[in-house]
Amino acid sequence: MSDVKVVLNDEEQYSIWPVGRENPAGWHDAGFTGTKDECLAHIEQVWTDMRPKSLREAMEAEGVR
Amino acid sequence: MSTSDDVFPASSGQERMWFLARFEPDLAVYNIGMLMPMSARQPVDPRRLEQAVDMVVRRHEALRTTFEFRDGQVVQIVTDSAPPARLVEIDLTHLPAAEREAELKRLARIDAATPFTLEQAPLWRGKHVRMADDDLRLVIVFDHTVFDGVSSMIFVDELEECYDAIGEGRAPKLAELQIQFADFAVWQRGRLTGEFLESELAHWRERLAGIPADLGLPGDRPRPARRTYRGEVCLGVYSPELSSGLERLAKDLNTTLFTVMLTAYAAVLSRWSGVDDIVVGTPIAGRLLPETEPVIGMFVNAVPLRVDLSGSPSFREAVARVRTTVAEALDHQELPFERLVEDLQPTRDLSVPPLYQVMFNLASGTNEGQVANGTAKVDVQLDLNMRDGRLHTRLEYAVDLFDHGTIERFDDQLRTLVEAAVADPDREVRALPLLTAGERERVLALGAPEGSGASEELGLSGGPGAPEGTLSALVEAQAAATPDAPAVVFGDVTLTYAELNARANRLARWLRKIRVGRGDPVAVCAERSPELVVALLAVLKAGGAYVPLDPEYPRHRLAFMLADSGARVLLTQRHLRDALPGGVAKPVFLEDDFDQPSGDLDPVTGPDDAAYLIYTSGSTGRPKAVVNSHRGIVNRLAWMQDRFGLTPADVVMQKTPTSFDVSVWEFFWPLTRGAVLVPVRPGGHRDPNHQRDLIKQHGITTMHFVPSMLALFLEEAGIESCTSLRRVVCSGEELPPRMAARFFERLPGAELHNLYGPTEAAVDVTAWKCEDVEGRATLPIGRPMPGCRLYVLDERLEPMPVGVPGHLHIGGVQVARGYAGRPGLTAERFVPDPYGPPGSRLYATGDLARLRPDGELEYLGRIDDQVKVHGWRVEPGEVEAVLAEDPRVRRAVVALRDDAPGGRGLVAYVDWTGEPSELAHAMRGTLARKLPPPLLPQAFVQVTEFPLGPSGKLDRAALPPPTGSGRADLGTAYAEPGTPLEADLCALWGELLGRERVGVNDDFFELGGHSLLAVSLVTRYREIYGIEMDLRDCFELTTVAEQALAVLELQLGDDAELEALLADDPVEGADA
Repeated sequence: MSDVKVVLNDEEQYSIWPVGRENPAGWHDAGFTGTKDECLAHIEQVWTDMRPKSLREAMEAEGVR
Repeated sequence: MSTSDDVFPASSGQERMWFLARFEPDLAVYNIGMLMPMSARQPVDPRRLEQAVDMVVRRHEALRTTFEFRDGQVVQIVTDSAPPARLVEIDLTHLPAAEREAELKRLARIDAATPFTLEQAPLWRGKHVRMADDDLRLVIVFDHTVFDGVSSMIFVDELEECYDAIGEGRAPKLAELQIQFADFAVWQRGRLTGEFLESELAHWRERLAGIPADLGLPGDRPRPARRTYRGEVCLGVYSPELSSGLERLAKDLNTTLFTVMLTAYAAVLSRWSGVDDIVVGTPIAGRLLPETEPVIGMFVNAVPLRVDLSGSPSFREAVARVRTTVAEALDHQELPFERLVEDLQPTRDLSVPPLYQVMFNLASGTNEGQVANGTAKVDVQLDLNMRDGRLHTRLEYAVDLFDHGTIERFDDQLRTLVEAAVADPDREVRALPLLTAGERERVLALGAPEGSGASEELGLSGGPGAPEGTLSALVEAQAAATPDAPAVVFGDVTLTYAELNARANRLARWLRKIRVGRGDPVAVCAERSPELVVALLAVLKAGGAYVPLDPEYPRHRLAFMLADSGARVLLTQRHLRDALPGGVAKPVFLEDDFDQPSGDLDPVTGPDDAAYLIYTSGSTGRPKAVVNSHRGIVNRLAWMQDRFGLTPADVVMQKTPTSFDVSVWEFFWPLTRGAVLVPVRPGGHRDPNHQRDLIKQHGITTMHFVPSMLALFLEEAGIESCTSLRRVVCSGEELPPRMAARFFERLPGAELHNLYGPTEAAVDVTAWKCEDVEGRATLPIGRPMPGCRLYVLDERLEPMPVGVPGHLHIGGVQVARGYAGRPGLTAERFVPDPYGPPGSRLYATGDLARLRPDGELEYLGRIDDQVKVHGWRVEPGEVEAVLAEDPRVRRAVVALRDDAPGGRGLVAYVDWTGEPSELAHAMRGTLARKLPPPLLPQAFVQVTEFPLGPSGKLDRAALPPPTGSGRADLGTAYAEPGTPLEADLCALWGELLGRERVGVNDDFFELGGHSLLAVSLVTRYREIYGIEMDLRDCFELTTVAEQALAVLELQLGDDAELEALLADDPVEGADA
């Protein structure tokens, strides 16, 4: 039963959303669908740096990792 | 009694109404009032009208019937020698013409609301009301025991025919009646026996297995222990387009308007109650035999229709299900409702309508002449009537539960859902809107106050004017502004702002030196002390995020947090060293002198950097660290400053352990505003005595309590002298209204504020200033703080209507970044926000809440904790509140336990100042008077102390099992009668209940007594002792001992003492 998909926003924060429903503004498909548990397991794999993208970029610009 | 009387057994429906009439003698729940305009026959001759009524009465035995209780059963008595029918004359022509209609309606309503005495004939009464010389109206009321909806049509037809016939000097053209109602009652009694009865019962038992005991519609008030049957009516009408659309839809779906509207009704009920198993009652004419068709009498029956909306069917599919349900019910319609109730729900419950709490009816004729009489038979009843091409709705509702506005919203939402179903019957039922676009916007707007950031573009930032900066920068600014002011006072030690800032700067430099950098988690494990404050501030100055570890936590838990957080540095105190786990984190001891420059450091962090990681433990799984940003907590502090205006003259107590996020504002709010921070000594957060002294010693103005701790503090001696206290902030648990009331009794000079928020949204997101707390069932949690948005949503993230419980979601600037190192869990709980700026997230709290009509939010508990006992949704807080009303109860906690005596159920833990042996009996008696039976705890446990967790919140898991020590007497052992009267009563009960031995403490209802047996009991008391015991008293005084006292009091004729017996603990009454 694949009724959920993985989505992410411009800060590259991940979440899940029902398949077949329009994404809320600012959220894009990450290209993975499955059961809720499968989607969360997928996110567990791919979301390795949980800092928001803007913060990550600001820190990288300063040379902090 | 005349010899021409005939005696028949009452039908089971009549029996039930007779019983209800005995039980609620002042109510006219089952009056059927009619207003007849007689328009075609005006001017009406009053004498002729009276004769016509008399002719109809002569034709129908039901209109000459009364009831009595004889030999243990209710009988109907038909008399042939009734006096001629009389109509009371009323003349309204003295009134101005414009006022007459209103006066007529008023008279009709009063009439319809006046009960009949079922022993006294006749069980109808009529008035002719003169409105003008050429306008005479008939107002007539019947008792439902002898009348029903079809009867009213028969009555109107026959009355008009008789009236005409008299005028024309002929006999009325009315066919001879083959049978009378009593014949039917006897026939029905014979039919409902043996195999037929058994197969009907078997069908319904199977069909209704496992139905919810109470649909639990969210009302405006909790259900009272005893229904008052008071009701009101809300009328509506659908547009011709919608009405014809509905008829078209019914045709398309190959069914009836009844089935389509019942489906829609059940759909709305399902959304309101949160269950998809809806039982709706509907009246059935009950005239299957052709001979019964022209007869007046109470033939009507009610059948339960169990609508199954599970598995997200489309509206079309749901209609098909309902069609089957209705057809099946019609095949089994003969079993009287009362027999079904007796069989399925024999337990007495005076609070809730049995089997179903909602009704539905589509009247084939017109219900225009029906007179409302201020009663309601069930919680909500929808009557529909199609006339002049428009569907008319009539919602009768219980005033016990609902305000008019609530039912109006129900009506609106039903219409909105019907419109959507007509437009697209293939939509899922649960996706059909309840709210119009406008109402949806309005509800969403209630959760998103101005400045909540709803219209901003950036996901992370706040709204216009939202505060910027970091905690550390704000403290530095304050230190520059008031360097010599005291910042921290702890015992003899005072740190000025300059000293605090300098010490934190030196430590921060040291931290940077050991390579703590921007965003790094730094563990802090220290007891409350000036060093602790320095440590937290230093971590932030260095650019890190602090991870508070409570030194009182067990070592294995600290070890887990240290490892899980990835902290490389642990700030701690030397004396704690041995209690701390070893590991990779490098310990830094706060007592050490850090020989570093003391000026401010160059800041490396901004508002979106992490400020702190606080561990929370859910009901399941390992604890997880919530990452909160400076922006979130700074916004939270800005709200607090805006609301309370803290000044350097203020003194704030710091007593919350650092592992609990309330401590964040306790530390940083005063330090960013120049006020004084006073930490309580280690362990002092559990010691109300110490807190009182500290308040007096330092002139504390501001402090926080979780309600569990506030309860203790409020019972501390001498807190009246804490006059410096200006405001107390509560959060972390539900604040009971009674505790708030107690607060104002003891601390009249202070304000009390109720805050709500999870760790995942920077401490708190709503607030409510406690005012007018008396008489409230719950205290609201208030409205969103600026920058925060709160929504009560369904599973599809659509807003719930006002008043309907849903899942509380939080959006806005205070929403945390997530759970450190837990991407899957973060993705699950922080979901895309359809209502905020693009890309923003909502935190799904797991809390159940509802929006009140005034825009305040009400917290209803954890979704996972929704407690169900014996099919009832139970709110332990409700039971706790009633227990707490007793002056002998210091505090009460009610928990659902699997180990309750008799199986899973409620157990009450009571800090009880009364006689220990009286606890169970006294409290059970009190609760029985105020709460529905399913809410009565199965055990009462006396406790003197409640187990508290590290944060001071009640630790429910640590409550003792009810069978352990401190167990009060639960069951009732056999107790011998102590007086001759008790002995007599024991014998009498045994006889009535078919038991060999009855003890004085045995409960009538637990021994198998039921309502009719209670009537027999009252009758026997009358016969034996010549007393008239109120039937209601039988339901409150349920043991032999209690009733023996009541009998005695009644024999002595002292009502006052009986009232005292009922009002007080019966055992105390016995001692008096």
